[in-house]
Amino acid sequence: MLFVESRFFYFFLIVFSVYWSLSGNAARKAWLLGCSYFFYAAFFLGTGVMDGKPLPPGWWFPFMLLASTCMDYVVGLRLEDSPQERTRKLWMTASVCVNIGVLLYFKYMGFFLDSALAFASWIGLPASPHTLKIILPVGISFYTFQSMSYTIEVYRRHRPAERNFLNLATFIAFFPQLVAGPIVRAVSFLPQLAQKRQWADIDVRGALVLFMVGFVKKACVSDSIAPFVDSYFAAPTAYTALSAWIAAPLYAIQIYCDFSGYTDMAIACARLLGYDLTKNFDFPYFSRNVTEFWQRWHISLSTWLRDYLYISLGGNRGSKAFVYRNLLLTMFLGGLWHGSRWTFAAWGALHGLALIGHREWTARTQAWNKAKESTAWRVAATVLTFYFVSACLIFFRAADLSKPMSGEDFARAIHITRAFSGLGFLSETGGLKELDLRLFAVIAGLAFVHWLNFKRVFSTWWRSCPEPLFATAYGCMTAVILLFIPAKYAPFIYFQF
Amino acid sequence: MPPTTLPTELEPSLRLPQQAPPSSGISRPLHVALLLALFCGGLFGTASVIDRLLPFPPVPTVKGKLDWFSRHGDEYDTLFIGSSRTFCHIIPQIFDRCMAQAGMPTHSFNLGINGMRSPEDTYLLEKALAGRKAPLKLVVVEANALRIEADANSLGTLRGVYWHDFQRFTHICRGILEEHAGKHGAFTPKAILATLGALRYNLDTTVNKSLNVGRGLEWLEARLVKQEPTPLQDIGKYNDGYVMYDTPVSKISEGEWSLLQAKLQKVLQKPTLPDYATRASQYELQAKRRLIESFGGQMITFAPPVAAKNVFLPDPSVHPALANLNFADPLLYPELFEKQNRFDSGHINQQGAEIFTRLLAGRIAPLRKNPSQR
Repeated sequence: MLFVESRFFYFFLIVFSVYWSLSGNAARKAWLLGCSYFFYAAFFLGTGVMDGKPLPPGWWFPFMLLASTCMDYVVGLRLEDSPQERTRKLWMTASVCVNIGVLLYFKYMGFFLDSALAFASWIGLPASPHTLKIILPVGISFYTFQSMSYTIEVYRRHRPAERNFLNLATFIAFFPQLVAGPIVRAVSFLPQLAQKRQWADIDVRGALVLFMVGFVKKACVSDSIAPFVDSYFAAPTAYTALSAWIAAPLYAIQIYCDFSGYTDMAIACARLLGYDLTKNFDFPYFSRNVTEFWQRWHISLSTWLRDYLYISLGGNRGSKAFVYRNLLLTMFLGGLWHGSRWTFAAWGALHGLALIGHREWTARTQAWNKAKESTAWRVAATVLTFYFVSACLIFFRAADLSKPMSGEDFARAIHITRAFSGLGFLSETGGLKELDLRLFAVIAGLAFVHWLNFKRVFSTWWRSCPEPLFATAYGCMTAVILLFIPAKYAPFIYFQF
Repeated sequence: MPPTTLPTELEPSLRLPQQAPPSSGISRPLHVALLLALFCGGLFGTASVIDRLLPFPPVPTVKGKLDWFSRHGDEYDTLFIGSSRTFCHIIPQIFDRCMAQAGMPTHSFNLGINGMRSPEDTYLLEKALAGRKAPLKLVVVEANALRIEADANSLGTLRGVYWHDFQRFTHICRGILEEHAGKHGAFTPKAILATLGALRYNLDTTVNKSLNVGRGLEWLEARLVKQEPTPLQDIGKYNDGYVMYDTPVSKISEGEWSLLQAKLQKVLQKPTLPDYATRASQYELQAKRRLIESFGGQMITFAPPVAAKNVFLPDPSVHPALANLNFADPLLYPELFEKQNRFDSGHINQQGAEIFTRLLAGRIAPLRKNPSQR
């Protein structure tokens, strides 16, 4: 059930109406929890139930979510009730091991086996291909990280253990952010659940506009760009080097619109139910360096990695080499979090190296700080950062997730990177097809609109107009937006992670 | 503890609670209902204006035929409408010749489209006749029950959506509910879910059509991508809407022939029964008839030469004076079921189409001479 599908609209309408008609906070939360499990189950049941077909093998995934919640509930209580630090540490370790274990099994078992077999065959040991097929439950990476954040926060005594099971279960399964984030922290969400939400406090207009913007990003922009990007990445060698200059930035736009569009819709839905979710994007492509990029891109994941991984590894305490090791390891694992492919790891590692490079550059060019504030420098730095991010995303996109991992992924990524770096122009071979050059205009147009939004050109007028005018204008805008959505929706890219 | 109110990328950090309800004495539910009405007014009003500005969607074959007919429709006085069993079975050139020989000259056009059933055919007929100035003589309609389920081939395509307006939506809803009520075990969860699923699909498609979903993108693409002129292959060699199969005498495959024989055996053992389907199907036929008669034409329905257990026919109690020609009878029309005249188990070939068209004209001519004859 995607946010852009009509069935989600019907679903949300029912959830919303019943939710606000209930008077008790517990009843509302119970309703939300039931709906969240239904929402999650809908990904696995599909239409199979209606057609009377047997259920697909993933029917038990919602029960796994429930089991994970039960475990974290018990661990949270034990962490709080245990006076001894050693016992607390044991409970904490057990919880992390189980959570990570589940994630490793579902997400990385095939990857480890593939890698081990490839290594074995490389060193000459006999190896036969395995036939292990594991279905990846949607959103497992997101809700595992979310539930882990709860136990870590209780362990670090940042918050007390949640004694109300309903609160904890709703926090972990809350449907707007269940399958693709943002990864919400217990410390910000559980206090919201404890209080009954008041309709009068809700910024309805803000939520509606945010939902519309998210819908446009996903359904109009991302899904319209997808066919061009897909055709290029499916067979990059059939295209000329110039095509890489269109396809790579287009993919950067597609993934941003897809993911931030989803996040906007998730935040808007949550807000309409009275809850605030964590900010996840802050105009990342206007960053002037890679460090700033990571403060603006997938913020809920980057802060999670910073707080629970980077700091746990030692953070900034220690020698430069130690700090850089931590940084590289964090980014490498952050890359792997996206999927069990070495191309994801390479994407993370490239960003890790770039973060280290930027730290060194900043330290060595402090004398230039004044020049760095000039407009020319800022523009150049922004363009260069976007170029770097787009180039790294080639590795991110090169993985063909429908096929088993192979060297082909890397070969494809390297071919496109050569073309995108300009080397492909010098030794262009093979490619005859050209992606439509008019797409340059599309890229420029989208960048301009995005820049206007960055400058807050659109942000206020709709807040001050009278309600009847807002309602009518919202209807008119919806009619115009619906004109520009493709016939079929592509699934959200981040659902696969 | 971090603040629970976090700004999002697209909003300034300033968050405003909603405006207080108006002090004019309107209650909050009424106020919300008014705002919803304004939203719907804006939405459907704008969509309706846009719909008028947009050209007819580029539905394969349909657009080609309709474009031609909108320019030349007044030149034709007789129409054939239905599925592939009309499109590929009726040859207007032969029909006109036969009718002229019978002393009733016609100039006919085949408006049949592969896979077209009721109520899509009524919508297409409405579009084809809109703005027509010349009177009609005759419209020969392939009798089809109302299609209430989604056609698997056109699911999610422009073809599945372009005709699904509010009028068609109400007809289909009626058909779905009627079918549901008549079903054994109508109140089992499975049956209820199936009915709800069908209603939801019907609603989704109607909303898609009413709100022109994706039509702007398609319009933009049409402007950006070099357009081919309207394909005349949809109109046929003689500009009469008939397009023949690949070869004049396409041979039926052995598998299809065995299938047809099996069906024929069943039909011969147990004669075909008339199937009046749902009342909604009959009312849909009535709507078509009213439309045709408003242009001064006569509607004649026919059942194509298929070997089936049940054949949909107009219910005489709903259509007391409607002429219907049933060609689904292998005993009456054995030539239409012979191997050399078949394309597959459901269709006749070019040679069969020539025979069928002559038979059709032969049956229609007396009806035109004496309209009271059924």
